[in-house]
Amino acid sequence: MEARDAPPACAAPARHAGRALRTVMQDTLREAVRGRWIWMSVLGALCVAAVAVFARSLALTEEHELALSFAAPAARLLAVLIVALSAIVSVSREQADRTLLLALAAPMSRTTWVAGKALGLVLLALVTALILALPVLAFGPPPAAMLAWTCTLALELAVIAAVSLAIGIVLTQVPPAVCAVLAFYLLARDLHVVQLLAQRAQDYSELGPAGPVVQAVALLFPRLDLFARSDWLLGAPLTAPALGIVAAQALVYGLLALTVATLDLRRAQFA
Amino acid sequence: MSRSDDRAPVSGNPPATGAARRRRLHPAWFAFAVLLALQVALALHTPETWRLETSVGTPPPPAVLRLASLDEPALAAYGSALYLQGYDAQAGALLPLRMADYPAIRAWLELAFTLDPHSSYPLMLAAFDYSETAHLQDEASPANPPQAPAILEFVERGFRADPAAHWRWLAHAAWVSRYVLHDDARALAEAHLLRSAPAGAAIPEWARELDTYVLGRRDPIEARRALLGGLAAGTAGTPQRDLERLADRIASMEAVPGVKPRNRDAIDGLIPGFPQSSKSDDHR
Repeated sequence: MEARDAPPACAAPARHAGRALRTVMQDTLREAVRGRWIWMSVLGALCVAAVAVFARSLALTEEHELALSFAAPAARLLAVLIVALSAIVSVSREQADRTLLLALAAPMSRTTWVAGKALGLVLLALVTALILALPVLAFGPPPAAMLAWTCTLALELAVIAAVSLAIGIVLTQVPPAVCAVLAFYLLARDLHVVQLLAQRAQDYSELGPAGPVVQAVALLFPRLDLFARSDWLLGAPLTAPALGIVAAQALVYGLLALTVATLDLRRAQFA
Repeated sequence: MSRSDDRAPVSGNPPATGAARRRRLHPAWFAFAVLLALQVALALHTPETWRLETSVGTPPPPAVLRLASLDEPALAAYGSALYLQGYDAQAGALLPLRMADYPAIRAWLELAFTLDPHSSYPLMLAAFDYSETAHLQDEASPANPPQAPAILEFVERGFRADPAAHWRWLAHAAWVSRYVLHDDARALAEAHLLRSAPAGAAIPEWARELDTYVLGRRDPIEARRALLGGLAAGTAGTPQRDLERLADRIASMEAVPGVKPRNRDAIDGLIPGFPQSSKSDDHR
């Protein structure tokens, strides 16, 4: 099938592209709802609450802080898993069931399809963040910190959704795509700790060359460790520049991932 | 082949009617029941590999825990503290804390504090729990290096790092120094640390005057009651759980053999809103 990146020769192409974008976005959301995504999120929120209540029952002091320190990371990890799996399965199914071919047979560019899919997944990420934030909210963190935590969690999930979309298009199969997204997430959260270790390791001659390599690799990953920080909920100060960096990071990396997805889809030849 | 053809018997016998088919269970159900029973029997007869360990072991480096927790130092710190706290209850038995490996315990406390210096949890464990039991071990084996002073020194270091967050546990440590270790010089030095803390640390006056308000008393129970009264009435924001544990500890001190226990309600009366029939949460 030929790529259809040229605008259709019909009237009001912008309006038509907008309608196509909305259709793909709605289909993505509808498919996620049919895949029990909402129920998975609610079940995840219940699991987070159970973990936090159990941890609080063990506390001898600082019960609220301890419950929050368990609830927030658990909520974030579950939200990332739900969004990544939903995004990858959605893209893989479109490719396996050939519904992607059907969509591209319509007067719609591949860029529009990627944008519509991404919009649907970002909405999914936003709702997931709100649902998973509820059990954390139940433990009474400071309101401003909770707001910042939830907003940056939504941004983190949006980045994960965009990266999952790109990896799902590139790898097409679910198992390797899930492994790749999980590896990406682990590196994006932990690479700066590895950087610190590598900087310290430069004191030891045998580990010296690892430092520049780690620093070079770290440049390719977003700093997800700056997103949804649990210590905000425990009283650490919030600064506007830090939140600005988080928003800029989400925007830049999300768009970068979508660009990769578009380039790979333009390159693909469908038999 | 249709579904009905697939179910037709090869022998040529007439196909079973609906009711007969329901009566005859598929052999897979029997296999399922037998295998499930085997699994339960296997689980019941698998020997337990738990054994009572007296040492909590060497803690991992802080960087490893930060990596494992996906850079969540608060989670790693509280997780380490809970692991240490639960170590004396293992294999279905309580490990007497006087038998514990206190250098290893101190290393775990240091780890938790390094990961999250804003949390008082490791200082609470050190001042309120491990310092007193370490002293019992020090008394039982005087040839070994004393562990209780080292644990109290950890509390002092924690206080110096953030006086506003950790002064409560230094006050407890001073009580332990004075009435458990009978080390008056250390107790006075800790009281001096409290007095000389910066004015911005928001330490109440009674704590800054700890040497007269608490440590000047002859009776350790009276001194601890004064500490409880100061925390309950003279300090805003003291966690209710801390007050309850302190009240429980006073009650257990009063219940030593040969001493008539005092009315617990009189202790609870010191705590605003304290439930009169509260159950002890002390696990030791």
